[in-house]
Amino acid sequence: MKVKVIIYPDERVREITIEGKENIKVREILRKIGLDEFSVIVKLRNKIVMEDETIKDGDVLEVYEVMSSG
Amino acid sequence: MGKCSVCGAKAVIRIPYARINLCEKHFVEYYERRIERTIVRYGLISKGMRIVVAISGGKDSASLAYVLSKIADKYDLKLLILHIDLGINNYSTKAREVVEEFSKLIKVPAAIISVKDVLSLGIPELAKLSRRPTCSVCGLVKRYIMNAFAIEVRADAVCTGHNMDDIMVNILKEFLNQNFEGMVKLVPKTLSQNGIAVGRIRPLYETTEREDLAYALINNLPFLKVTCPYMNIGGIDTDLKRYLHHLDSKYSGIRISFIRRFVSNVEKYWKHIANEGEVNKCKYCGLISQGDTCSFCNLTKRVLGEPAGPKVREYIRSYLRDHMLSYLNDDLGSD
Repeated sequence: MKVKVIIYPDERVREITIEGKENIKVREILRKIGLDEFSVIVKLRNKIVMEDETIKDGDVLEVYEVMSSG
Repeated sequence: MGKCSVCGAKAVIRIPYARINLCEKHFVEYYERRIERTIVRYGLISKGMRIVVAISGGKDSASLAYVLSKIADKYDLKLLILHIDLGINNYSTKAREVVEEFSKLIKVPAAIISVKDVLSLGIPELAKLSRRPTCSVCGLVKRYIMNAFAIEVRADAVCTGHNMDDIMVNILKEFLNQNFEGMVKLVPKTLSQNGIAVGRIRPLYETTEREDLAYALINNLPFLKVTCPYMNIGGIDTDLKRYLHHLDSKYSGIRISFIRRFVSNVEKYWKHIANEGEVNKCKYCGLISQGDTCSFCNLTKRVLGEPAGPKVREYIRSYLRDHMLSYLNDDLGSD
């Protein structure tokens, strides 16, 4: 499964590949990029979601870091 | 999957200290109600006030100004946006664009005061010449311009987007420096002083930075999505914020209870410290000062050869005449 992550501020892009797993949660992607759910707000398919939201192959995750976004 | 504690719909955010999950609709209601309760709890606003809303272009001030514009009629508020263009290359250009877009969105006029236009140099150059940290010079210049602007438009208050996390970090920093005089000023409201200083109000005193961000995103508010190039990511501010986030995730509610007890303790035990500080009029610009010269005139005199306070005040007067006279006369009154 491939997921694109755009981290704000500054639009840093990360491509995450997870092999042999389905029903990946937002929380797992955040852990992979070294962030915890209390320090970000995540948008998926143009809606804010919580950390237990399931991600599909090809999804684009917008991750807004709380402390440095203005 | 988390469900909204109010209606059972899909939740988008958890509010740890209230131990609830909320959907978009109920989060927006919760956030707006929380700001209004903060306003009432600390008596920040009274009917008919003229308020200068200082907007940086970031998510906190955007969320704040949006909510204020929604309740302006209810409280008969006269709002005016102030944005200070700091002269930090692309960052300031983007901030300015965002503020202009935002001003149109909420239909509140924006005054944009450019530091470069007034002083012929931006914050980075001023900081370099003064050999002081950029953030310290930036803070000093912003505080001065905010107050000078508010005095010139005869505002009742300057409203800033400092949230609970910002306030707590500053309280802790002042405590670590044992600067109690600085600490007791970090209350939700400071009072105006006789034509030399306009009081500050902080309606985001009880909202977290994360809630401000969520509100701005849900409402699609325009805000800056780039970091200030001078922001010190590894500095004490971010370290303290991270630590506070960590504490709150482990002991939910610790931040809100701290901030409320702080306000109550200032009122009960430390108020005299705030009143002990010397308050004078700057001999150059006539605005608030601790000695005979205010920090801004002191800095600019040392760096530019002359105190720039009077120049800033004249620039603001001329800006208001050129850009906002009709609004000031029509909506703020010409008294």
